[in-house]
Amino acid sequence: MTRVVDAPLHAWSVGEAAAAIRRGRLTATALLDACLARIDALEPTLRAWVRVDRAGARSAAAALDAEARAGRFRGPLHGVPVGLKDVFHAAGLPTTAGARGFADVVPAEDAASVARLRAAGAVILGKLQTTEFAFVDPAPTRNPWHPGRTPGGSSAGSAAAVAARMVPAALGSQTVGSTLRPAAFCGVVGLKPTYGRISRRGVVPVSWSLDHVGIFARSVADAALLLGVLAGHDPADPGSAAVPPPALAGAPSEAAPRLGLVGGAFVERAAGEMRAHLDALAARCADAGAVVEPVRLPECVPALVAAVHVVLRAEAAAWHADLHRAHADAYRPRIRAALEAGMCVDAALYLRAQRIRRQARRELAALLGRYDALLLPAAPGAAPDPGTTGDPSFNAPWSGIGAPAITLPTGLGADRLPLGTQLVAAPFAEAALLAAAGWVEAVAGFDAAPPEPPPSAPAGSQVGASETLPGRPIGAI
Amino acid sequence: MSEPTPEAIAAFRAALTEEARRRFGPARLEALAAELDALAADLARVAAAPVGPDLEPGFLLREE
Repeated sequence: MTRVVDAPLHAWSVGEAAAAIRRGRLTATALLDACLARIDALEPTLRAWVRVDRAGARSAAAALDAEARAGRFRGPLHGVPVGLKDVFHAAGLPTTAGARGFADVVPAEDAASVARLRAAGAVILGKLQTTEFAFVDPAPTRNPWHPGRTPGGSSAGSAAAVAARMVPAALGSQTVGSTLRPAAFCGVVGLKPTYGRISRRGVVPVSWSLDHVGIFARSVADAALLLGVLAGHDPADPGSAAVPPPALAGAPSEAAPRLGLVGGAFVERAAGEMRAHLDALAARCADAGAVVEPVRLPECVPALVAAVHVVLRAEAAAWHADLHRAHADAYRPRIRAALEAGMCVDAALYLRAQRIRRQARRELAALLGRYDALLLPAAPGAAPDPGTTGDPSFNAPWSGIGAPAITLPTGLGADRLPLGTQLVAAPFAEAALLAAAGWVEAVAGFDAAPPEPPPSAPAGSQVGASETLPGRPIGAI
Repeated sequence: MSEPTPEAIAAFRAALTEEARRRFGPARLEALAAELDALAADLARVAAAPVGPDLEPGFLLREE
């Protein structure tokens, strides 16, 4: 808690701020004002927000302050601002899904996850930038560490805003790698829980059987705090799992975890710098007492990844069919091409892809069950140029089988950009995953922040609609 | 694990091209080329992968 004294208010963690508000040492209004001032200072450079709901947030903060003065606290997020990727419905606020006007809606109700945040006392600060319909055409957001690099996607604004200390936590989503990858590029924690752990009701879909709600924060403890609020069965979401919420520990685990260090062909896609960083981190974990064993992923993984991309295209095409029929020319080029390709997928092969996912889940669950977590890169390396949202190859298998995964910032590369390490656990083993992640976080000791002030964007570097994406065009969701 | 052959990928690519032409017209084929290339490779890999004959296409984790 020493950071409460040392750090500027806008940089306080979720846990620090919530504790100070509960003790009467901080008001929700003061915290909100600090975040708004930070947004005012940095938003012209970073472009992380679609809409900052100043009036709604001020009203909510004032009400929460009044309740606090009366000794009433709604829950563990009382007075803490949270941002929403603009695919989450928040009552009365437009949801654009990054679609520049042709698909906006003003929902009457909150998404299930947003309702849970409000019930826990969170102040909904506004809507954060996303790629169009959470696909691959880059958002306008800049990486706070370097304006000439992508913040990742599709949850670009969520990752950048949390990294830049505009807001202590944010919601994102993930279909293939849209939480884990931007978290790595922006140097923050990104948590994708088990498929079905957090309700998707009220979130604009990409692919029903792959979509997950994601969490962005600046520490494992904060991510766990939000997961505790958000997890739970929702009968109105057909993908929601009727399982008890995870039994999350209130304090970091002191027990050294059992880790499987992923090697072999799967990680050859990573840059040498990233592989060396991960090996060094694994060695430090072993020195600190962890059991670290080399593992290789089963042979089913390439087919699983292919299945993920087939399912993604086909399900996205199904959801967008009516909109595409009416507005095909309004889509940005990459998502339009992906949707049209998805419309060409044979039904029998779509179903074969779903069977492959189920089979792979069984095979990988056996491996995952032997460890508290697997350890592997969250991305091939540091953030690439802003013409792409980056490569989700290291995230795709876990989205495909719905296993929980978390990205931790664990170091800086040679060019002073963050490197992200990913931990993955068996389905519904979030408690073990977060305990292991908290332990690894402590060993890594990463405490760097983006440069102050963030560097300005170089002239002529605006991301746009005509970039080319290296490699597989659908690969970066 | 079975790897898809170049011939299998090419066959999927040709089938996708015909379907795209039928649905969207020849003018869209150039814009779709990279996407159809990637999809053909994915479909070929899915088609080549062994899968248990009794396995149904469920995906919800709560069943297991």
